[in-house]
Amino acid sequence: MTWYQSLGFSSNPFSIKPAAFHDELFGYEGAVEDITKKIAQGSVLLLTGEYGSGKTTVLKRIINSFRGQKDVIYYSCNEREKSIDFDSLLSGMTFFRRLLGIRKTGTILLLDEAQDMSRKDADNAAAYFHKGYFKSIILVSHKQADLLLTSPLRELLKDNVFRLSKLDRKSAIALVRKRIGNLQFLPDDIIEKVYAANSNPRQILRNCEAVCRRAAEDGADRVLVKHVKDVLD
Amino acid sequence: MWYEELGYDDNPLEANPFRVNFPLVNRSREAADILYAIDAGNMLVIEGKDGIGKTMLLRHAITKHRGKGKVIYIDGNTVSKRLNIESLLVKRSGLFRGRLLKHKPRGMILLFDNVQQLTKKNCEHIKYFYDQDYLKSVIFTLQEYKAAPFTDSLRDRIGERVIRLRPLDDQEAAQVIMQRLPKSWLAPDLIAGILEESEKSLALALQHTSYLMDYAAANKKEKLTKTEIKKLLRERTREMPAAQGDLCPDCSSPLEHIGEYWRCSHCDTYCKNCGAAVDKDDADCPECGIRFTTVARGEEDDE
Repeated sequence: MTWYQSLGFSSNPFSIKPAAFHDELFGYEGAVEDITKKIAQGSVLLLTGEYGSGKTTVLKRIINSFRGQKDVIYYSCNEREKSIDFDSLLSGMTFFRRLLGIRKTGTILLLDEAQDMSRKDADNAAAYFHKGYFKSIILVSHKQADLLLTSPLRELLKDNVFRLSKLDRKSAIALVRKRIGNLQFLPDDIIEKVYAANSNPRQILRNCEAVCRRAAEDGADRVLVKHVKDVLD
Repeated sequence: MWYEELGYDDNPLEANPFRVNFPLVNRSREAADILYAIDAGNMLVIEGKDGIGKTMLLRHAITKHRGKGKVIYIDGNTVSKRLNIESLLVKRSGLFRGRLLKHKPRGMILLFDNVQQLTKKNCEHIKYFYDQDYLKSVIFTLQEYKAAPFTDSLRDRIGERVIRLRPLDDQEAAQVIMQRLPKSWLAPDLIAGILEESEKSLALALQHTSYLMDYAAANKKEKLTKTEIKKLLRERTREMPAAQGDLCPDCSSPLEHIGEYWRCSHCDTYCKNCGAAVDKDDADCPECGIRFTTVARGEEDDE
């Protein structure tokens, strides 16, 4: 029996997979609001942030906020080896639409892992944007420097760059609490210690898992400072 | 063969972990960590030298999860650089759902043994499938994590989850050999002699022991002395420049040395120019780029 099962969870509550937990976002509400506004106006934007800072999670939130009103396409550039087939993305892959060549207009395109985009993809994206098929394009990348931006795309982008900044202490606690509820097995002051060691959201989750596992193996009824020291030092 | 005369069907000293079934010796902590990583949905790296017992640990994990159709085991030594993780997943779903509808199963466990080369594309694929939960957990084994060809984003998902396998001490290593044979057959000091010649590799120690048993049976020797063992094993090591032995572990035919690889012409499909593992339908070698004719590619026999 693992530590989380003995606490009543069926699976690891500190999973680092962005797809595992929906609608969970802490500390970046301001950024999301700004981005949503820009999208509604129709523009090309870039979202950057460190590994594990929550870029994909922000995208998931944006998808949710437009659900039911606008067509949103999420595409991860590392998914396929070929270049992006914008036509089939736009026709929604249905056979009938493909046959007739019907493409939607006014779609919002979210391109995750945009650093893997090729030159041709970048030019195509800009061209489809100009023709009005895409209302907005959001590029997501680790660093702006890694991004292969061709000049038409760079012109569209201008200075619409959002950088995910560090998570603050309160948001970090909220993030952990969202995962495990108000469980006293992991007290707030311990979460603060974990946050102090490394404030990257993914690292916080991973470290929380490690200290919980350590404490459970120790037979303790809650995580103590010494467990944190054991794991993080 | 000596073991047949002694009443075994198969060689009990077989070094390939997939051919024998003996309990792990003093690896309970590591085994528990692997099973936990699989359950909790983590990425984990096991690093350690050749023959130290990495594959043995993976086999242990496979035994625990067999029967649910969730485990994918890949041996990096025998797959081409062109390996496509996505097509592996798609194949799992069968012809109709998989090939035609591109359906991919969720929650698979990927065990990637001997990751020597991993293209950037495959790194990104593994990362993407892991993030989207097609792959629930991933366990890699390799010799040096630092030198591994992982991308930064993959390393970030692994984090500190790297287990460095310590070599077993002599007593534990002796236990690995002794648990496979009746107690009285090999005196502890003889085993100590074998271990001295095995450079901390359990696989090599087992092969050595098997070789000595073979020798003793062939020459009708009741007993071998420690000096004899040393001499025999030194000779054996001199004759085999490859760390893993000059014979194929699967079919015992001689290996061919090409570039930095040792290949068996019966069991491996490889490029005859550079020795890299290739796929049967590859038209050219992904490593050296040579175009294949039937001559240039050593192919696995179908028998």
